Amino acid sequence: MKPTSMEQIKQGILQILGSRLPEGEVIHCAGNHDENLLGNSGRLVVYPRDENQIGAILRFANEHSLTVIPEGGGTKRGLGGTLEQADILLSMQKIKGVVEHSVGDLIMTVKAGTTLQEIQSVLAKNGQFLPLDPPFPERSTIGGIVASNASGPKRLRYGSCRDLVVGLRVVTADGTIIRTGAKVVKNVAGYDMTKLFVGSMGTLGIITELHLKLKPLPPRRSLMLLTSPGGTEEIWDFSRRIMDSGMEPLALEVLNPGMAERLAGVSRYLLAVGFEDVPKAVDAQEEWVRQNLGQLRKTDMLHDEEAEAWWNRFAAVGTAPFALKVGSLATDVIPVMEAAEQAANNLGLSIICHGGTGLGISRIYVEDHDMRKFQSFYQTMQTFMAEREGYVIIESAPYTVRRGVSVWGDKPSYLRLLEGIKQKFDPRRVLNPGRFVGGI
Amino acid sequence: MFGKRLKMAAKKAKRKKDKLIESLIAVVGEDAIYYEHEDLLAYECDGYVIHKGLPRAVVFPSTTEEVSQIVKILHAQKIPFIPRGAGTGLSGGATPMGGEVIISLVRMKQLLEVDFENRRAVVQPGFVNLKLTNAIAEKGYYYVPDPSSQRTCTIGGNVGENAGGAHCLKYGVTTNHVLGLEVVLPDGEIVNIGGIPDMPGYDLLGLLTGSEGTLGIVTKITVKILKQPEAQETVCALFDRVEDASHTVSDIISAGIIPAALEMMDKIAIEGVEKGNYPVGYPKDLAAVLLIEVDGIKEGIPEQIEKIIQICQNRNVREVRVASSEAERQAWWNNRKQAFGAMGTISPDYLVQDGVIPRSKLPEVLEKVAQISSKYGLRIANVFHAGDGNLHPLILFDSRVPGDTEKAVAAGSEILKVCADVGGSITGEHGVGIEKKEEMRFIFNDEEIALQVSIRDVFNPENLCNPDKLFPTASRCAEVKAVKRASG
Repeated sequence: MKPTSMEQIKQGILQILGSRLPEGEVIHCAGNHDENLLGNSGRLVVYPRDENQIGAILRFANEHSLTVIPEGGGTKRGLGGTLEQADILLSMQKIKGVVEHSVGDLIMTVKAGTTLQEIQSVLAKNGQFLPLDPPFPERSTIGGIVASNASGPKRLRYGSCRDLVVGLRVVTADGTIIRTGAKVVKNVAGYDMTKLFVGSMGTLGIITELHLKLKPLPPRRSLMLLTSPGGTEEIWDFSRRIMDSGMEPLALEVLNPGMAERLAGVSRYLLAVGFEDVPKAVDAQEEWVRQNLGQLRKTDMLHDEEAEAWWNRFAAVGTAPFALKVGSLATDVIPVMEAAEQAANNLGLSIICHGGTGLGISRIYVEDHDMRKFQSFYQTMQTFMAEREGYVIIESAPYTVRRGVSVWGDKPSYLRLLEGIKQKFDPRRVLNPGRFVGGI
Repeated sequence: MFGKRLKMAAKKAKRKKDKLIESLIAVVGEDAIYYEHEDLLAYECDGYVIHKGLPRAVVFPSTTEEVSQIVKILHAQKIPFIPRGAGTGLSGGATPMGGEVIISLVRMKQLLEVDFENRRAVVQPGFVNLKLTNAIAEKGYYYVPDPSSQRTCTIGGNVGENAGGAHCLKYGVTTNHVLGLEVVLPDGEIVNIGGIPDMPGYDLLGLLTGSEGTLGIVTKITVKILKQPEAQETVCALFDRVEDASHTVSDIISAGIIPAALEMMDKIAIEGVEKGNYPVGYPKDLAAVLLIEVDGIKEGIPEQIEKIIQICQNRNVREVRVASSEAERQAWWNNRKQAFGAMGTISPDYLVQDGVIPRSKLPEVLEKVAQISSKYGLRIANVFHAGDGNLHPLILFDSRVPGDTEKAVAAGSEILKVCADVGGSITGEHGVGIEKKEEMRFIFNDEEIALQVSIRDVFNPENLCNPDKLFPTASRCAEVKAVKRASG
């Protein structure tokens, strides 16, 4: 039974939250123009205070067949989904804070609405950090980062969300609170349910608390920016040699000329090579780079806070509402970037893009707001990748664009398994309906 | 109960070449199947020997297509089946409950592809773990997960169990090194999963790895291969008090050092390994040994080693040494890696447990393990991956003494309860299998177990693929589910 009016839904939610707080801090009616461009907003925005309230809201939504979009910092509104507005946008912003930091265990438990920046500042007091470097750390919440499997160039060395999340508390669509994993780094009891939630785009449940693996803060950080006067061949050659050496690069990220211009003031293909280790090991690796530059030129070298500041600028570069993510073999990263440049040129689009030559993940931001051209660009990249191992997805686009294309690329042959999993967790399709692969 | 099942299974086996056997022979040929009683005996159990059951047949497919055809036949006739690698599992995951057909992957043992530029290798499931490292060592590469059984265990089995090893502290376990899988689902369909990072969709790779053969049969695996670290150093530290050794473990991690491996053995374990095949001459009166390995960039290692030695000294170490040669380092590791087997030299039988705890709780938990040991009157040797809090208490017993086996099982379960109660887990790398099904309740409530069972049903709705493993006996969970449905 669906309550017809928004007022009825609102009254129902207010009754659940039963809050003594002013109404405006618990719930409000949404809808400014910006939000509507990307969609994935809600007719009502609700701010629960704890997992019990989330459970009650989801039970209410389930009973009344309402749709709910969970949201952290709101940096992924352009990713997936065809809804302009769900019935309820469930904001995690009031569920924040570090629950426990067990320094000797290199483990922390944190509430899902905590931003990455808040987490890092707490950990830094004890000489540790969470080795994730997704875009917008000051706004992105850890729950949102994990649910969308966000990552950055440093995953080459530190791994991605699936390697760092060891356990969760989750509220499933029927309001049940479940636990996965434990506060330990090694655990094979039952299925690894934690993995199902990483990157599930909030379609299976709402993550409320996370147990995370930490690392000691490196005593020394270093970043070398290398450019290639010749072309991309030398960049690939250098990448291949460093990966084949005993060196342990933190990141090997190639920037296209447009992005290099913005972040390093040189309009050429650029390779960012980072190291984090004890000072002597960093020095030795810098020396290795100097010895093995080949045709590459060192245009800049940054250390410690300066290196971090550069990576922070890097993490803030993807503000365009039109963006693609390409997954490929490492050997295809530079070809992908070059194909993107070519396609953009042909369409008269300007792009910035970067790709990890040790990782196989590239991101392309289209700066022009031309929906038709963007769609052609996406199709060109899909055609390019169709002959290669990998995928192209639309990481951000206005919902009107998303309605017209399959943002997650081709349906996988095993879609029935994904649908089966969704069916077990959320049979009434309350959570983020249509947000994920194959319209899950 | 088991005796009865055995008899039933034996009866079936006497009906040689029934229709089922004939249809399986039609797929794999006469020389790739066992169905006579005496041939089946070797497949009664895996490395967990306390429970045994007889399979109906053992088939040895050579190709994915054959696996798929076998599974289709069995699926159509509702006959349960079990995928099996080398049978080194330690929780009974490959042990028949009675009457299943075992699908052995040992003939699918090819290394299909090595791609150094993309740092990956493709293997068939029966390929032996250590052979991969051996095959790529010449170019300075290796495959990281190194379970103690790596000379015999297969990578397919490693995926099934999400196997760990001594070097997982810094580099992670099997799930962190699997990039892609080809899987035969329990209805015979062949699917390919992953291959490239962040493939869109739920992380089925992560779900399948460690699913103990209950979601399908892995027939091809793409794994990460890494360049060997530029340098490594190994420290061996001898302690007179277990507490000092355990505090040293926490101190090293708190000092910001993440060793590649951080292993510990206590007095009884040392007694065992010194009587085994690879003694290194540890003094008889030692309370604990720590093996600490640091790897990485050559220039960065000496100061970490100095710091480690300093920490050991602050914790009253009797003697601390850096391996003077690769031979000495290998000797220490061989000694450590044969710890389980070496228990046979000091006890007729042993039961190995696999609890995990936050490493800061090590002193407290070891104290409780000692109490459990004296409560049951059984000696317990402790061997563990101390760095990641993964304990392997080896409970020594004599199965010829009536009641001893039951006592050992009960003591093991009690240790797991201690691990669960400090926020840990009942298994770090050996799996649940049949051994720890009931102990799942120490860490999961009925609803959490029911949800996992419902995920199994997505892949394996008729519970034909490795049936009745991993989850506690169904009744209570099923009731909870039924009640929930009725009220929902």
